[in-house]
Amino acid sequence: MPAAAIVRGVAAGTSSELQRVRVRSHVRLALVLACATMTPHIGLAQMTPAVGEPEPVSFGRIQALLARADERALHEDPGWLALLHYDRGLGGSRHGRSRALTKEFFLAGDGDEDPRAELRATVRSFFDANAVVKGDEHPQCAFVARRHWIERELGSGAEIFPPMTCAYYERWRAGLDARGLTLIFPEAFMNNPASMFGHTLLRVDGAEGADGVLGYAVDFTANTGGDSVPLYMAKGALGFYPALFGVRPYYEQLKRYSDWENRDIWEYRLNVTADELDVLLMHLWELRGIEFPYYFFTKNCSYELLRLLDIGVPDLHAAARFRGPVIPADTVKVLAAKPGFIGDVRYLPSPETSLRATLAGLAAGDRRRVRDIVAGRLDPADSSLRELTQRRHADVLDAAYDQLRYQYLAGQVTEEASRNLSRRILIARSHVGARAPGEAAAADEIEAPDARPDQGHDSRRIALALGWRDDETFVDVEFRPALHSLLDDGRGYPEHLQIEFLTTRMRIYPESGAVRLQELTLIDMLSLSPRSRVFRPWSWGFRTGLATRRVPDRHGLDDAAVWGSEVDVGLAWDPLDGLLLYGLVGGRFDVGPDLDDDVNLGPGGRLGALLGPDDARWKGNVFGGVGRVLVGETTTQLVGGVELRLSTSRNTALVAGGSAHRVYGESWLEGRLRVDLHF
Amino acid sequence: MRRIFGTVAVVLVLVLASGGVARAACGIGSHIWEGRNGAIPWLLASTTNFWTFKVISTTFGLAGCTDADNWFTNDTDARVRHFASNNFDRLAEEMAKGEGEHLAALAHLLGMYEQDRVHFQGFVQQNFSTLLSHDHIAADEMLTTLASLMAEDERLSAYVHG
Repeated sequence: MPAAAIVRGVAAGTSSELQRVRVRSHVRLALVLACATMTPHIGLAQMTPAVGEPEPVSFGRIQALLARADERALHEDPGWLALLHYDRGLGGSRHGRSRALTKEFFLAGDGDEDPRAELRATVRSFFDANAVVKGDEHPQCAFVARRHWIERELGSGAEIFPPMTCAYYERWRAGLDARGLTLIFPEAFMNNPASMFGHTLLRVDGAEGADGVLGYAVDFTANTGGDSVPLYMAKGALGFYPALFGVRPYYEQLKRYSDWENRDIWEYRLNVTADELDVLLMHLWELRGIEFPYYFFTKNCSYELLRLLDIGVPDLHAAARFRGPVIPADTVKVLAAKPGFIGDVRYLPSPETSLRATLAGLAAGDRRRVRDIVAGRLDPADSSLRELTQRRHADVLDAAYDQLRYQYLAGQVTEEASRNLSRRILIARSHVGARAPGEAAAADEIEAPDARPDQGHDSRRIALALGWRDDETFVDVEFRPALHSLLDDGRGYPEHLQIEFLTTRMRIYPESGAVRLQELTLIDMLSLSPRSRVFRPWSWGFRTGLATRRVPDRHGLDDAAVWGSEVDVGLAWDPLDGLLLYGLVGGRFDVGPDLDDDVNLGPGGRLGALLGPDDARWKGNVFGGVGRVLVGETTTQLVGGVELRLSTSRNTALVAGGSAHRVYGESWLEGRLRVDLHF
Repeated sequence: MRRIFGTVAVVLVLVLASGGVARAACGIGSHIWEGRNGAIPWLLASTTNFWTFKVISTTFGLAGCTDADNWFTNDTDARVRHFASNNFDRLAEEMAKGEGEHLAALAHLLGMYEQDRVHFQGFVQQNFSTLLSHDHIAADEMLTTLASLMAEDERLSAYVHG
């Protein structure tokens, strides 16, 4: 019985329909979280401050503390404003206002826009034995980081508030037993618009043995409810979703990103001191249940994690490095830029990456055995397998299990069909015995890519090109805020992936002095996944934006602005290392005032070959495309060409390209030489 | 003309959006720190009358599900079961191999001393077909079997109590 199925079985009984199982698993997850994060109902008796009712004494102390705070204008201290999540960009007072949406986060009525009032209310409440916030907590316990900060600033670290036992907070900290901090970066996942730039979360590691899978993941996520995808995209971009920090077992997150979404994961151990980690967790505790607006492009998960890190690590100043869009990989780069801040880095290949590598490493005969076992043609306990060396025997059974599990997770095999077989594979495997000490399983020998995500080229790109179209020369000036094209240097990026966002290209004709907006692409995505006997993914592409087409007018062909869109689906193969062949078909849809009837619509397709390994300094793309306009002024559009990129450094490259075009019966040639600078 | 552009915009948004499937993503999509009540029946499934693990370490469990007043509970038994249920496929694989990260994590949750780890790994591998005795087994049943098998083992019996 399949282990994967076993697990599902727990959640979903005998349901064999993957989708349903997943949905139910999700429900179960939510329940776990609800349970895991339940607010405890510790009676106030347990929270009673050790000090009795020293009202007159504390009145004088409070006044003295507040006077000292005012003398030093402590409420304007960046540390205090950071703890309250003030943001100058939000207007309000000269300190801005807080981004926190939850009123419970403030002890003063106007604490979200008056940091002095909030400081005074905080100090007062810390002395008030009967004060209760967040249901049943004393303010000192609900705002442990504030207490720590005020004591450090006003009391040089000595206790200045009445002693308070925070049983509930202490239990949480004891449960976390935090010893270390790791930044987790799951790579881009193209099948979800919100994941296409990657994602970051933190992991709180316990003592040795309680780190890694037993650590706790900390992330910042929004609750989107049941909104439809378009609504969710729009609301996500505009900040309509409230989001919170969450803590849950890392193994749950690992399962989601690695198993379900097949994303390679990078784990960056962060060198934080025990004190820094302590403060960070104090503040995380304060953020429990506190909502912030979530902006998909700017104030997103990665940004808020940086703010959290900034509070723990005072000299980091990471969030301040970002003003506009925040791309998760860029936040990793900022952390890596602080000398010594990043420790060990671990690469966790996804089940797909791992299985591809394992199968590639097997001899052809063993690959066939794996295939036969998974297809049910060969009994995992068959005596012929015992004739293999112990190592090969183990490799074959391990690969067979992994392949069955992959196919189950990909929905290619039903739970019922995989139950019995996967259990038989594992039983056969258990009889092979343990591997010799020091002998790694094939799956564990997968090498990490040469470059880590933080070592890839920077996200933004400007390019300057000199080109010609027939005998006319032009200069292109291009700006692309994000992120990566097929031809760009692939080191540090997922393979065969293109995500281009808001590419803007101006074209200047030096002879005539004419300037035109040649292109303003809203989005251009291409995901090419090679197929094999085992892996059967679809490749797809989507592009939409302002584009220039050549259309007939009185003098022949002339440039015309259109809003052009393409959607393609197809296949890709990688017959050799460093060669990827692809072919996609789909539809083309142009709209523009210069088109006949304003519209061109019809089928189309593209095919090509990518040359050069992803980690090489160069890459080539030979491509061809065809489009047939059926609605509009009928024609067949043809294009074919070649592009070659040579990287001169991590962030600079030279690109040469030439192409031939034909439309409305006329043909022309184009050529370009381009210099790219990523920054 | 304007109408056409409007229509196109709508179509584009739909097309653009159709790429999205799952919601779990950079930020958008999950529920955390929400819900103030609710219990998990499957986690509450009792193992009374069976062998259970005697965990002597200070490892705290997750999720105050068995003790609604706690954010974390020291009911390690619940945490072992939560971990095993959530990672059953990986765990089963590593038990069959007699090694792996998840198996080590299970040993850690059981409070196992370093010197017994290798023995434990070999033990689960040798007893694998008993531990996964049928196709519809769930993590809880496997753990119960594991506890009763360990009770018979000279070195591992220290980690269970009846």
